[in-house]
Amino acid sequence: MSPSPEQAAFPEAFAAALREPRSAIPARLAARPGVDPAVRFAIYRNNMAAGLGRVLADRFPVLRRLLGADFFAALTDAFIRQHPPAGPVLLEYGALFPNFVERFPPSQHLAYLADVARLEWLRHCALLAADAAPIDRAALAAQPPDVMARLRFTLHPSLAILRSPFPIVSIWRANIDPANPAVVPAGLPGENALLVRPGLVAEIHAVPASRADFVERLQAGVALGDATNLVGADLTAALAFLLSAGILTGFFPVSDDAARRSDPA
Amino acid sequence: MNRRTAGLTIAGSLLSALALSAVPAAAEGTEKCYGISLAGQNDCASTGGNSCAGTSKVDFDKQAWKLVPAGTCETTMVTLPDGSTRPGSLAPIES
Repeated sequence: MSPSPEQAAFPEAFAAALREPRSAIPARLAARPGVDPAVRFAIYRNNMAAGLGRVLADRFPVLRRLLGADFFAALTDAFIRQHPPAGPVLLEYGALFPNFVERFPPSQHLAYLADVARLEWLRHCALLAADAAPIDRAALAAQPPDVMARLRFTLHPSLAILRSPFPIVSIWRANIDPANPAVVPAGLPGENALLVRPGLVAEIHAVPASRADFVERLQAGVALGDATNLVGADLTAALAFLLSAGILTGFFPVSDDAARRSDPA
Repeated sequence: MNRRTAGLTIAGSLLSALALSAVPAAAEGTEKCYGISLAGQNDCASTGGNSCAGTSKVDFDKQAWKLVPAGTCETTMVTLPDGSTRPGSLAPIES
């Protein structure tokens, strides 16, 4: 039996009523005798909003500190109404939040907030990204020196770079520990954040723009020798950083370039 | 500077960097734990049915691993679909 038009419209009406705190309850909603369905529906609606609000508070802790709990709650309420989850997986919820923050009229004059939110979202993504073992250093060192410039690398799956005109890494570091007072470091230049999760903790580094460019070229599969012009005399330090931060996870030996990388494990 | 010299300069930088840099600190406190990951949530495996992240098709694949805090793998118990339980393993589990 196919549903009547009224039945077919019910899920849509139910979802719309869930989003709007002051809307009427959906038609045809019933509760057990003696219980007002409006009261039961309000509990359900409130639990959904509170649960999503806690997800966002957990995912954007620095933004919440910078704005204060009340302002943050107003912001997330507005976001949840406009952008309820698109799927059942809450780990994926919040991707649209940074852009929403950017356009939220009450805080639009605080331009750095959206980039702080983007940094926090990338940190969340880095936590969820696949693990990878660090590069086999002995195998790398054993490559013939005259082919090293032609090596191409695989980089950690959690790697992400965010360039900002604001000192986002300094702001994040100053506010991530709740034991410290909330502050926004003033008078600092913009920063480029590089995120990677070599173990169980997502690391956030501030890197020069040239080093960010270098990493992105290597990530795009460019041979080492074709990317070194980006860092110039900083090459040894840049490579040492890539190794110690766990960014390099494998390389393609020049002899069998087209084949698989040296150590997929 | 000709191409070969430039190449050797880069090799020198790479070898210096290998000598100067530490092994990633965060990787030291972890271990690879086999047999505990859910389908599609594994990392990489060196043997058997899948080659890399997110490709395991069954829950608790004996050949698929996840990074876990060092020392916790073998005390992690998973409940299999048949109701039996099994600890994680530091090596791929033989079928």
